Amino acid sequence: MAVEQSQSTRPQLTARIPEFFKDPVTIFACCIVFAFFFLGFFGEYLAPYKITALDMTHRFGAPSLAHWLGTDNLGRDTFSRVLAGTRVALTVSILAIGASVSCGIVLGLLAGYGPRWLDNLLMLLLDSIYSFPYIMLALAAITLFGSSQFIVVLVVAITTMPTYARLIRTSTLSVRNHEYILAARSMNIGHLQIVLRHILPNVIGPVFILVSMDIPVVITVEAALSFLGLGVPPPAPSWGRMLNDGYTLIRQTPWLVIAGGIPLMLTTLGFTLLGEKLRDVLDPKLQVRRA
Amino acid sequence: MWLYALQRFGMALLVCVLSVTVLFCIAYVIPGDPTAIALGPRATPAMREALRIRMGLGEPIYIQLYHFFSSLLRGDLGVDVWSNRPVIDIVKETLPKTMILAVTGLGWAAALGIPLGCYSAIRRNKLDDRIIGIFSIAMISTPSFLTAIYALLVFAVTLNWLPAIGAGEPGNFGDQVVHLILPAFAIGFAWVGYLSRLVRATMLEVLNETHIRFSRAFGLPEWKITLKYALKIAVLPTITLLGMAYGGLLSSAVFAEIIFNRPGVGQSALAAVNTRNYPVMMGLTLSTIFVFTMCTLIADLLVAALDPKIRKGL
Repeated sequence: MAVEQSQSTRPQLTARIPEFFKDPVTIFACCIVFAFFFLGFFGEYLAPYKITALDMTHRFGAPSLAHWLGTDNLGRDTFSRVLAGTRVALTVSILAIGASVSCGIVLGLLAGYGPRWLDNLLMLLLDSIYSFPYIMLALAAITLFGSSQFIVVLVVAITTMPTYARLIRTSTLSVRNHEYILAARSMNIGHLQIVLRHILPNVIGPVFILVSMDIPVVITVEAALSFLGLGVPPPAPSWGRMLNDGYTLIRQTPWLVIAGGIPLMLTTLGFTLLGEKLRDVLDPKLQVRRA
Repeated sequence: MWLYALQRFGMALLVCVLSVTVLFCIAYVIPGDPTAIALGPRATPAMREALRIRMGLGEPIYIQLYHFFSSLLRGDLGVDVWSNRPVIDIVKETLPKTMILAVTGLGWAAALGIPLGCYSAIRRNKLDDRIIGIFSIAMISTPSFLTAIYALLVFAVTLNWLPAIGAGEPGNFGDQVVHLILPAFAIGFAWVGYLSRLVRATMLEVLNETHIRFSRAFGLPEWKITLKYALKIAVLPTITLLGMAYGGLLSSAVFAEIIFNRPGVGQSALAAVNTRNYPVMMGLTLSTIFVFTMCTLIADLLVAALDPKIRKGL
């Protein structure tokens, strides 16, 4: 039995980049991710029909040359709505990931660099959030505050934040006792500056892997909440809302759920694969747990 | 062991109290008058005042918190604003149904995922391992509510093999099992991939350890080493994960219930959200927190019972 290749014998990072792009799986993943971003920004302008254009003579249409993915119960073109839905998914994921990464980094640095009691307290708090069923949190928040894009982003940010905080904390704990930190401290450099200038750049790398693995989670949560009618409010054409339309009309036409689900599945698959490959290249020892 | 159990128990209690307090405080700062929402726009100020006194809303927050905790300890979660049923009855009725669904879903996933993980670890980097790996990732990245919808589309609507809605006739066990198949399939689907990846990763680590190499040197067959010695160690992180998994599992169970129209926590919670029924929502959320903390606790204690290193660590 071959012994697993240890980290020290692996080639340098720069040498591994061409190897990274040789893998067909990686290319596939990159294409999906690129398409997602591209359509998120420009999809609306490429759509053949207006997302609100009704055509009552062509309801429940099967895919055809005029309507590539068929039409829905109001005769709206499904393909255009899928394209426009990419924008919603992209917006929510950028906002939510941005919020959760920044909060996670701050809390993780505090827990890792701060005093022991603060670390214990924060870990207790983060662990409770981490494993709490997100859907119950979302439902509770929506009962209290009503549904809006802000609430969706907030719920997603809160539920994904602990993973970042944990990751940053673990690396900070291992870095904080290194000699260069000790040297910085002996030169009377302030704690804030040590954390920002010397610790942060050394612990931030794996965050990018996690972001790639978390974007699918965010998109799924948004779609799931919209599916329940509690996500981004209409008329924004979220994939989740299309799935809900398709679900209620599932006995009339299968095309709506297929058209709403495939982009969701492809996007999640693309980002997950990219994250896995990135991890293999950058940090093979990183273990990511996900709720 | 007992000290460890006691510590873990204390932690679990602390998490419960902490989350309940946070939840309560969030509910306290909500904008709007809960009595106005509960009674509707046509209520007179006198009626609102009466309800306000009955709900104890006029008092300061710490008194309310005290009342809340003391009634919680007596098992009183308040009453449904619309039907006046005690919330605890609703919880007792719905929670077991959701738990059965979640456990069945996880059960089939574990029964398939763990052996798949072992198999891929033994056949590492061979073609079949790679195929299992690709399928596992595809399974992980399919959102569970999407699996549920597609399962509904394929097996219930198109092929008409299995029933699409409901939980089956009460009392008719066979019918209930038939109704359980699709939702449980949808819930477990992603977990098959998850567990197989996790077991494969830990198994590969364990198979490199010296005591395994030692048994290999004795000429024991590879399947015996894997099943008898390595699996025992490799399964530990899986148990921890399963304890933590409850949150994600419950989320997918909620969706499966809504999509397959089964009575349970999911349906009740969604109905509570749509009617702004705070006490029911609060009661359901609290009970899920409680069950979740229990699951984590049980998983932790189980791992400690199996692994002496952890017991002594704390």
